[in-house]
Amino acid sequence: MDIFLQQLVNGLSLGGTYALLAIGLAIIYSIMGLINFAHGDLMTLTGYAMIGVVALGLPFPVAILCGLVAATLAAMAMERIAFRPLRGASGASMLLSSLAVSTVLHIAFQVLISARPQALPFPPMFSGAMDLGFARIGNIQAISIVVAVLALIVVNAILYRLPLGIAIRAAAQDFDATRVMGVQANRLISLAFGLSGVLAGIAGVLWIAQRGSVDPALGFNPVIKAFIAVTLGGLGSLQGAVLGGLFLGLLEVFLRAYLPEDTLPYREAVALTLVVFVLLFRPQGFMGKSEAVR
Amino acid sequence: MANGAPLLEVSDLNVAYGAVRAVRGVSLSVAEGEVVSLLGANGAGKSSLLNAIMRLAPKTGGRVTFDGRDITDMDPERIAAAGLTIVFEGRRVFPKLSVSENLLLGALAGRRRGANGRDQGRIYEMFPALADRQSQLAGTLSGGEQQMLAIGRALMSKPKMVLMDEPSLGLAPKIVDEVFERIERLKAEGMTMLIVEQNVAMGLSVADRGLVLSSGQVVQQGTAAELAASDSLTDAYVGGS
Repeated sequence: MDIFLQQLVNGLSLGGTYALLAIGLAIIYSIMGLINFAHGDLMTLTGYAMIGVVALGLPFPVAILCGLVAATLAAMAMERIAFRPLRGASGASMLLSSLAVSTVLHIAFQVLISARPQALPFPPMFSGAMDLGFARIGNIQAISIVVAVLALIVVNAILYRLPLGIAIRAAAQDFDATRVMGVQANRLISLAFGLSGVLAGIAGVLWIAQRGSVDPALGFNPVIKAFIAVTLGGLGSLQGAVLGGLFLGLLEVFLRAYLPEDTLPYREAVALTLVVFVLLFRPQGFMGKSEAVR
Repeated sequence: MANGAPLLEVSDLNVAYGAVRAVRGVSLSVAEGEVVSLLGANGAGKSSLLNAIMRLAPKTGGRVTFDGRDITDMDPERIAAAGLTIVFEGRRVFPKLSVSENLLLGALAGRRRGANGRDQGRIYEMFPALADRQSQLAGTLSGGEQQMLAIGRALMSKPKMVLMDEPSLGLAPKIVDEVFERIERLKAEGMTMLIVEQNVAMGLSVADRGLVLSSGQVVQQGTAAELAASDSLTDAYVGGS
């Protein structure tokens, strides 16, 4: 039972991180039909920014803050440089542009920093574990869950309470009509990228806290997982992205915990096969509309 | 009626979608407080004309001025902020936002004119059916209610002029009457409107003047009374000239 609880906590913590990434991807996709594969590189950038600030001898919370600011500004710069000129172009063109951004960032990280992992030690409060009597829970897992929940509450408040957040949801439904409401398209999209950037930054901090190092390809695996989560949830659905992220995180962790020893190398394959099965029976995802994808 | 400079002036406007020329050299003007109907068969270019004025359709030539400003190449959001808005064909309310959220967004363009998104009482007083459905998702409203919401949303910005694209489209006759009764009321309050309508009788009933479009060109214009009495009007609908 306590093993199950521990795995549940691990799964929720991984799933929460996926959810933070997935909701950022879903916001951008729902507004402009772009699947931003450079989204994961924002996590990597967060890590390098933190390493730089720590190297300057500044306190760790300042490093986290600078990491988040870097991810936010980078996301907005990405939009300005790589996506705004392609506004209204086909999804495939924008996807290619995002792959280009991702590749450029990878190479820049390799050349300017290092191809090898750089250590980013977190303060001891991240590494311990709490003994709750019936189960031992890693601090970082607990922190991940709390941070993910708080971030999702804040995102929810922005999207459902602030006029500009409501405008982001409206733009996902009818972009032209939203402009006629007097919402400046450029400002709205820039803001949406900023929001997705800060979420990717938070996901980056949580991801790196578990690993203790940053390498140029750090963001690749999680962004693929987040993309799967978005697809599972129903492309463009924000609640779906959160559900998809949690589902995928739990699935991965429980497969790792309960699959027989000699099948463990196949756990990713098993997880993805299950995802394929879900999509076979519910091609529109958990929360998607039943119509074909546009 | 037409005193002073027109509020909206369109000159020699052309709209083309690739090789298809939807609007060919249309000129028209609407004075402050005036209601003008754009009539014509399906595909005559009426909706293209309205969308091009809002810069939501590709203009290939011509000039549009509104309230003394050249809005030909202005972004739709700036045109809306200048006080010109549109009630779209097919309503295009935000289906997954609540009635109240739709209205809240409607006010954004009118902040400089003192519009406030929380100040929705005026709209609910005008459209009581919406008042009971404030937190309902717009996509779950009936067609008539969605049309009321689309008009209400446009009015939230306290516009100087409203373009209305097919307000009767797809609605039951009784609901059409209700919608037009509200349009009458807006007219009585002095709202300037350019209305596209396939329902000729309805379109002319609220209008001061009318223009008939055929194959993207103005083929006839006059006062509402003149057009209503005209025999050739029906020709524009059966494809004659």
